[in-house]
Amino acid sequence: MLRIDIDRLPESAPPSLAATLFTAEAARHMLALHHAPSPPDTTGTLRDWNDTTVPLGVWWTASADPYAPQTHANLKDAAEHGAYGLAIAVMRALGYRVLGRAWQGSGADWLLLKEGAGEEEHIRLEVHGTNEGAGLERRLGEKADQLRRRPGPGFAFVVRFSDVRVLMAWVG
Amino acid sequence: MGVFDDPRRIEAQNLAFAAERAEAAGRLDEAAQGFARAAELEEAVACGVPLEMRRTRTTLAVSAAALWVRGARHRDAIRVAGFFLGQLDSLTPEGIQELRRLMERAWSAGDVEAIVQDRRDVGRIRLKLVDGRVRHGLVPAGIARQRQMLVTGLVLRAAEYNEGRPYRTQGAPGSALAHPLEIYEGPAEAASYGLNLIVLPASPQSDLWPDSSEAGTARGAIETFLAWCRTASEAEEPGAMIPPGEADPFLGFEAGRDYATPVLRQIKQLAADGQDVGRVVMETSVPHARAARLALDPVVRTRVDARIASIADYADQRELDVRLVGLVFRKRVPIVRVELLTRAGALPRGHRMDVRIDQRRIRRFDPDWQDHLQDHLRETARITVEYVPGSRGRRLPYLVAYHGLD
Repeated sequence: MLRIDIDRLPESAPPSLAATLFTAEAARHMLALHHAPSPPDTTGTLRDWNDTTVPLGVWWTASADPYAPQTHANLKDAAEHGAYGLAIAVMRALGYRVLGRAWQGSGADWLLLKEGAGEEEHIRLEVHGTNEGAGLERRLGEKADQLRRRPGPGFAFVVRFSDVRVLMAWVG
Repeated sequence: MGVFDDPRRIEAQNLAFAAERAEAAGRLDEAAQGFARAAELEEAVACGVPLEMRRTRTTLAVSAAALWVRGARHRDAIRVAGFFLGQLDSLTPEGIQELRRLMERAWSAGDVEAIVQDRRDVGRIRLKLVDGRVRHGLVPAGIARQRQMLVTGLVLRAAEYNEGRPYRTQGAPGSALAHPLEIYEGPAEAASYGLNLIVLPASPQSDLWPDSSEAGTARGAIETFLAWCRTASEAEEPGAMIPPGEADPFLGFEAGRDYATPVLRQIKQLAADGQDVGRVVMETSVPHARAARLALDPVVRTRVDARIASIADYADQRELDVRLVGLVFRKRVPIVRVELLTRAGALPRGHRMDVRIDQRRIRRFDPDWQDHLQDHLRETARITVEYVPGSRGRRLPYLVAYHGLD
């Protein structure tokens, strides 16, 4: 089982504290719509870029911020931001450093670096989150296409919060 | 320490994320300032990347230019893009294209800023089209053009409505002098597909009274347009004409109800259909006011149909002889409580009922309505009530006029 801890997202930079606090809060908000806070771990699945599926355990506690529901009232945006939080935690667990946000124009959401690699080897991460419903495979394909349209390798990462199902693809 | 661990870059990320949060909450000025400060730091880090680190230098240069654009600092975006494009060998070919694209966008946006500079009565409407046949930055031309024409038409209608003009049944507004607004299409912004409209008065005269409490022509039109869209989109259930507790935005003046059906039909077309466009998100902003965000999802189309069907009952007016029992100002819509002096339909004599007061309309009838109603409590009057369909099939009485209170 791959275990991630949403509560510990803000502990190390990069990415920045504001980024991790914001995305962790969104992830908590989305998880709370379908699951009870830890303990125990909320369980889901992760299918990696080699088509290997492993159980995924997510540790998270309820948000203490009374304004969080207002901030994340737009479910589409909240799912996207919450997916960032989950993706950062998963990529860290898989041995990648998250360098920070890739701003508009790069065709991706985040920049990553494999532990031990040089900075010129940084890769991209394109993320999509959804609350519930079908179409996760199609979304993964769209995100991979989006990565292909811009230069450089990267991961596509999609998550559905209702059953914490994560799919990943590698674009070389 | 590597480039990506540079404390300035960490700070830039902090600032940019706080700005994104502010933007999501509608605090657009604060967001722009945050993005600009983040851009300054990102640019400083990018400039320090060795020329031979082409990929890293490209990534940070694009990032800095994009942040300047998001901060609405277009001259700075052009400057930083130009600086890095002046060292072509230090960029990847794709990065060169991206910086050129950002530079062109900044030039266009800068031209828009020149138009609205020093104009106080100016507002913006951003329409984001998502999913369906819409792709990132790409949309079938007909879909985009139709939405652009619908928003433009509705905002012009809203301006005419605010001026008390009767509903035009055909054609465009007559002469240029009769045209209350100018609407520009600005450069598209980020996201799936964005239409960006800038609205300002055709005559700059309304800018001469910047401190007036009255909304200007452009601001007022955008507020009315938004109220119409909200009315169409926020019903509790099909059949509800007005969200509970809200004043009806179509009751601003006597001919206002003529606007209801055609305006609702256009809002229906503007909303997402679930096939060509999966979702329509509209953001409006006017100076010194909180930005508003509204989603026009496919369900809006169903609601609008139900509302249009219920409009047949819209103008049902009745005169009632009553005794004024009380005034309630605690609610968003003030209420006058009356006791019937004669039988009214199924309601027996002596029945007490709450009649809502549409403040905009009653103010036109009697500017001192509050004083008059307050002074004549416990007295009799003949009131004109208009029944408007409400939620759960109810018909809500609205006070339109009264007589016998001197």
